[in-house]
Amino acid sequence: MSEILKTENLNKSFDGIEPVKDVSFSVSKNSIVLITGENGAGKTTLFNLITGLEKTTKGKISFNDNSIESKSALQIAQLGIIRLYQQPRLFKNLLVWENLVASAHSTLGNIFLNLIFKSKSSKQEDKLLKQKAIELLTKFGLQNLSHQTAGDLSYGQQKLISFCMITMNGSKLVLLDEPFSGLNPQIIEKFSNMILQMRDEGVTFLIIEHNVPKALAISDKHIEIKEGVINKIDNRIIAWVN
Amino acid sequence: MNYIFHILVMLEIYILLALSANQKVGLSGLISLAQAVFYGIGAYITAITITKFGFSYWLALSIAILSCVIVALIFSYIAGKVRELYFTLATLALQIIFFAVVYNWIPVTNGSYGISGITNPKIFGLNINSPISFALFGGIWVLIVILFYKWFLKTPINRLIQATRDDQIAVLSLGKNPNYYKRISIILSAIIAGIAGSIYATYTSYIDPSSFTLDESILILSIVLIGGAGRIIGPITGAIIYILLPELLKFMQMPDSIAANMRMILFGLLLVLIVRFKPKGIFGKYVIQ
Amino acid sequence: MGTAIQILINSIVSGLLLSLVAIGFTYIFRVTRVFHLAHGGIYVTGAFACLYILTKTNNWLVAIAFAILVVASLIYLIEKVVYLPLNKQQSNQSISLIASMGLYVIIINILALLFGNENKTIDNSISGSFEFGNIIFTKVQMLQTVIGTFTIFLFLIYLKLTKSNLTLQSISDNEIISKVFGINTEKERTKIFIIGSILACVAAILKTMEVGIDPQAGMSITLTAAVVTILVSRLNVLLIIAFSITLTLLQNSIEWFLNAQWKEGITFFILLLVILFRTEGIISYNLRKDRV
Repeated sequence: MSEILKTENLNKSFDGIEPVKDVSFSVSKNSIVLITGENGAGKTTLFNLITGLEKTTKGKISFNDNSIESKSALQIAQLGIIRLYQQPRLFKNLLVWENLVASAHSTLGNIFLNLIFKSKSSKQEDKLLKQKAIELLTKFGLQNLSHQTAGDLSYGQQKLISFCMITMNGSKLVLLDEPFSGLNPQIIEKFSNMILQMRDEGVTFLIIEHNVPKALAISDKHIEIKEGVINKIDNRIIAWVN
Repeated sequence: MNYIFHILVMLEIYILLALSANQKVGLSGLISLAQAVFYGIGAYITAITITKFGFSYWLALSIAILSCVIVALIFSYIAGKVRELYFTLATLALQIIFFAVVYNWIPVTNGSYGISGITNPKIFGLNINSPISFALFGGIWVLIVILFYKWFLKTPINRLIQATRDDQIAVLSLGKNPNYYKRISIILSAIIAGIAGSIYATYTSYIDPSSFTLDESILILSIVLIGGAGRIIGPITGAIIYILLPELLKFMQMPDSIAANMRMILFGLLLVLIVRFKPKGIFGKYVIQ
Repeated sequence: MGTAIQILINSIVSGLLLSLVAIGFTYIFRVTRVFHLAHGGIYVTGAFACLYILTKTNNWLVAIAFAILVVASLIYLIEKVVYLPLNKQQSNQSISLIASMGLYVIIINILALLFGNENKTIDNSISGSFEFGNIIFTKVQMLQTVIGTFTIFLFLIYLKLTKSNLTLQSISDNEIISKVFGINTEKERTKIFIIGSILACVAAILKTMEVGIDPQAGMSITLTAAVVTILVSRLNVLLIIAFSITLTLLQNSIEWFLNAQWKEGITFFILLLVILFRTEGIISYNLRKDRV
């Protein structure tokens, strides 16, 4: 089982505060790892370090055996680590399907010059992407939202759609920051199934959650963080799943 | 009759300016106080190349557009990194610096004396030298830009530009560079404003720094905010309101001496009311968040 | 050498007046988060109100009192009708900046209608000067220095007596938490708007004694004050004064040696550099901030 992500002695300190003191763990490909801990324990900082939004003070992070601790947020996202934020981040003035197409990874439509010099193929690609977006929404049973303005959706719907955007992007390692917060049980159920579905299609997930029972139900590994260090790692869940 | 064509030409110029502001404000969500800068670069480069080097209009226009692109590119690298209000302050700084340069670099711009004798354009052998021909000339440019937008608004790049406006961190997290999309808007906006400037310079045949001040930038911004940002109809409406307002005042027989101030008072009032009560503007699709 | 000292003295006096405007602008910006470009409109309104009463009654006391009253009422109206509702809607800073621009345009055009666009001076203004060798220190400059310093002093006393600095600092750090701690942010906003406007009014009247006033005069000094605000980035009166004087010194030196109107351009070039290199202006991807 190869490790898609590994951190070694990760540390973040500034102004006398050390939100992340010494964190080492690894994530196997295709697994779902749950990270829990109290507010302020350092979980979000950990995510920020992995995704490059904050700079590591000490320690190493490797993604598919490439070290990324000194890479920028943009580079890391381009390498294939993307993140779902606690407050859903969508393009509120665009339609839902447009949100998805805009999320797709390295397309022709990303570059201005392609508009002019590769206009035919970029048009075709755009058409295909729109199809793919609708298919994706249908797969998750959300196709009725496809032509709504993203800003008009309910909180729960926005969370689900932002997950669809991540899926559309096709990245292999996805960090979910409190995905279930603010959602009712039915939507949590739906969301959990979506996550499991994508795991089966080859995506690895790292989840921060407070709603431990629901999250444990889908996780293979559980890491608890307390005051910037790992308190315990629970691998027993793997035994259950298998 | 000529007077109507004069109004038409000014309307066309302001429609172009409003559309250029819309690119930055409506599509990219960047509030810019520097639209008059690119308007001015377009006008001055056109004026200088025609009067000092005797270039033809097309050559002058090309150089003007190129200059706008270069300045916009440099500026986008500087200011693209900062958030909202500070971007606006950076545009404010650009506007003030531009005015200082135009006003003081006398060997090149003639300072407050202005540049006169800008000859009329000669397009395909035809001399554009009457209000009616300028109205047609300006009208064709407006048509070109509108057609450009009808195409551009449907492209995937535009989608990403608007996505960057809506949430640039989300765009970044998805592996795309938000600064790139802001840059495209800044450059496009500069080109359109530059074209407006070149039309203005050849139309009035005399330009001086007083047409390209902070007040002018504020005015252009107001036009697009009042008319509404996002779709094409908004900026066009805003320009129409701005140009026709004084005509309305004249019709109400307001004396010329107070008409100018009255127009600005009404315009300022309109701006405050829109911002306060209808932030999308009259026909806007998008609220500045 | 004499020229340098003259420039220095002139800069200190002008800088002092600038700092009155800058203190107002800084406190308003930090506490209310409004980039109050209309401050320039308030500035000229104060001067014109004073001038108007002065020409009618020739009574300085009444004129100044009237000016302060007009300015305070105007800003009170603006805050209640425009800025506060926008703040309640949680609109972003660019929106209040735009509203401020609109207000500025309205104010100076009304003034232009009422008083005309040309520069107006005070008829029997104080003339005469003190001379120390080559250095000239006019009586007007003396008045500006004395009253300017006195006004700042009053402001500092006000801050101390009402223990406001802590309150204002708290609101500027975090408005929501301040409310939780029982601070009446609405009242503090109104107070700081009025005080800031009175400071600007005093500066405007003092400046008018020297060079007269026209409706356009407010924008330039407000913009320079805004540069000071961004440079100083916190609520510290002494720092504001220091930066104001330094900036004025820089501007005057440039004007003298380059013999041109490059000073505004250079001031804003400095602003551009500051915006680039100051962390507060750089996009902060700190998501903790985002969460709030």
